[in-house]
Amino acid sequence: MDVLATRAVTRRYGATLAVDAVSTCFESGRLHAVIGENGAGKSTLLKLACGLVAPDAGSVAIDGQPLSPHTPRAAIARGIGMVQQHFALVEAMTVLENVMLGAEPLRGGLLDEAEARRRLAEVTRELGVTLDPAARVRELGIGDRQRLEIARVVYKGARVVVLDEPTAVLVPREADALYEMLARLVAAGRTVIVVTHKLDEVVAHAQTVRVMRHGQLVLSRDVDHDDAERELRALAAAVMGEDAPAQPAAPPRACGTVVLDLDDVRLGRALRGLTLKVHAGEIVGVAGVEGNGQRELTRLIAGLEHADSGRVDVAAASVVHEDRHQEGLVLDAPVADNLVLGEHAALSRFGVLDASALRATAHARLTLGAVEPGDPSLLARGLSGGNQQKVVVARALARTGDRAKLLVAAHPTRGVDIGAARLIHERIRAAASRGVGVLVISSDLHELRALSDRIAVMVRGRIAQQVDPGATNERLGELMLGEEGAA
Amino acid sequence: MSALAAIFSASMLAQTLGASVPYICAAQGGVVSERSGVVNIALEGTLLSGALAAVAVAHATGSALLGVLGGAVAGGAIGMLHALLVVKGRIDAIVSGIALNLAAAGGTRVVLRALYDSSSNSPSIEGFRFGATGAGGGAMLVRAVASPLFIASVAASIAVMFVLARTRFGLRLRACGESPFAAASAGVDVDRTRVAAVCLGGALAGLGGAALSFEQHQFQSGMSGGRGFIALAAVIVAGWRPGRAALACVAFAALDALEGSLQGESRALHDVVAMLPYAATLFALAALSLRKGAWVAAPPAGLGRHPD
Repeated sequence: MDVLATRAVTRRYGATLAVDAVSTCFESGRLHAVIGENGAGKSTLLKLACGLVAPDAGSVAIDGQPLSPHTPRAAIARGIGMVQQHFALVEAMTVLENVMLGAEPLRGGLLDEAEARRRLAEVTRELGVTLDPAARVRELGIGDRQRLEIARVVYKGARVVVLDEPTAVLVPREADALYEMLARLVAAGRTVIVVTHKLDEVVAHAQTVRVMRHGQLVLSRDVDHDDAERELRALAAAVMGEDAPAQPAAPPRACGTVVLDLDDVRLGRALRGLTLKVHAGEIVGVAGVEGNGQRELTRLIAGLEHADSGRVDVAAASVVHEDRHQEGLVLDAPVADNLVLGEHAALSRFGVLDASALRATAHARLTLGAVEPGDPSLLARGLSGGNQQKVVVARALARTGDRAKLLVAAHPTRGVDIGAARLIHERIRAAASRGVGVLVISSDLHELRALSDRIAVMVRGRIAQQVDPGATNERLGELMLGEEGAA
Repeated sequence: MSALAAIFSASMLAQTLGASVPYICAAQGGVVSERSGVVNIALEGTLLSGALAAVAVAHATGSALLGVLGGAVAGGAIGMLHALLVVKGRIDAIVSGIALNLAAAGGTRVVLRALYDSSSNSPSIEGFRFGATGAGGGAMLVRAVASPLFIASVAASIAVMFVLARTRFGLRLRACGESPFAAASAGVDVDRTRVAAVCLGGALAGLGGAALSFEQHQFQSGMSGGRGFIALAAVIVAGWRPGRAALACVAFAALDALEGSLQGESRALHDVVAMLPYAATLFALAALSLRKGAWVAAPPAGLGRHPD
């Protein structure tokens, strides 16, 4: 019996097809996994299924009946609940208040806390967890918050519980406990769908697996539990895609002075003895499963974080951050200002901004980045995600050369269309041939292979190994999973 | 009578309680609005408008009760306007608040001129008739405590506490104020909850306006005199908690009453004392920002933030 089904659902973000006519059915009473690389569309697919995102085409059916209206409220009412990656809890309120919120039991017009407490106890018994109803959320650890989110979804009557990257924030022991809890839900007749990029979890715990790549469902079948090793390799290959023949070898570049020199760098729990060198004129790719310290590496080089220990030698760097909204753009400022962010002083005369110089610079960079529409007076918020990305990349590229000797590009083509991605790649190569050292951090192995002179694989805050860009996906996948962690 | 004896007398206490009513009502309005996440500096204009509406209705109908109701309705209307501008129109709450305060200051003068052909004050009204007569301190105190509007302000404070803690509306209101994103995710209609909260808050402040003009038995142009802002300061000092806000309001009102009791004293002393509520507000806010003790609560985390 299919409890939840998508019928040719399609969703675009700007020019990118995030989900491309995907049809799939989730049978009830099982634990399903949906996997794929970053930006493969797996989260979007589930958000579509839960009513959080409206499809451009296609529909979602619950128990065979279409979901209408396409809202989270309607989905919740029909028994579909989602635990999002970023928890949606009210920190200042208690566990019980958070559980009740939106579905409050009343008696005589007042909140019936006793009834809510009784029902929460029922839910926690099913889940096999303990939660103090009177504890404030801000006092809870990350694991308890997640248990609370799941308890709340079940409290509201979800027969299908969807979790987006639930183990991204957990340590391994907690992750095991989570899957134990999910197994109890399944045993109680509920359906669980987990979106993840951790293949070992899928092989260990899931009953079915669906693989998304470039917005399409490329694989959908039961998990083969007989040979875990072989299954892991098969899934890794499906996630990354059968690769096109290796790119024509880039002409070897003369390696100049060292522009980035990190030696045994430690930073909190994110970077644990990372050692990496980048020379002028070379492009080094950093491959790795997201959340292995890439974000902190970028922030460290940008000067936003300081290492706890180890040596950090950085030439003047120009950085494309991982999250364009957090670190890349002032969304409510015009595109022109965003293009010259941080350089306003250089564009001023006697402390007054030189409007014509600003305009000229902005126009030049708009052209450099092929930003559409090429109107510098629009607010950055008004651009599509892909074009926002182009603004960030154009700004970083324009600064390389005389000022910045090092370009750090985290996911430089995330969310941009193929043509623009090719253009960005060309510009990055051109910068390297002008003698700029480049560090590209990406989860897209094709991109890394196309650009890099060598690929450094990052696992748990360290560079596990450095390989030739000609390495196979399978080999890179194994390295990324940390199976050959010792470098 | 020495100044000290005047401060600790029954009549002084009576005047304090009488003066506290507008503060308390406006502060409860502020608590309700801000706990839902909407900054409300329009309390000042709401007080003023409520004061005029109460007098106008009482004068026209001869009923004090209808007058009070008129004040609350006028306040609710201003609250509704503020809510629609800020919540639905996504206008900055400070800008909307300033605009409404300016509109109230000008608008009440226009209405005053249109209704009573005066630029300064309305004809006098009787207000509520009740309780003990006489000019003694004890009689004044009985009158102050038994005043329907004082009772209403205390009842409003208790009601706000109760509604926030024990009702569905209160729970959702607090959730909207703490995390509009989380509230929306839980299926709460954040915009509707906030509009209802700010509207209710406006009605409470309008009630305070009625108390203000009934105390003087007439409306005077600009008679709110910053009390809305001081009430908001009381809300902040009290950490957005209704009970503490009411107590803070009584403290500010005592300084008001002190000014009243020194009418006969020298001009200079009177001027200094008249300054006290404002100086005390500044002092309290400054002291608060310096000490981050356990009882100092942070503002609602979602104050001024929209769910998306």
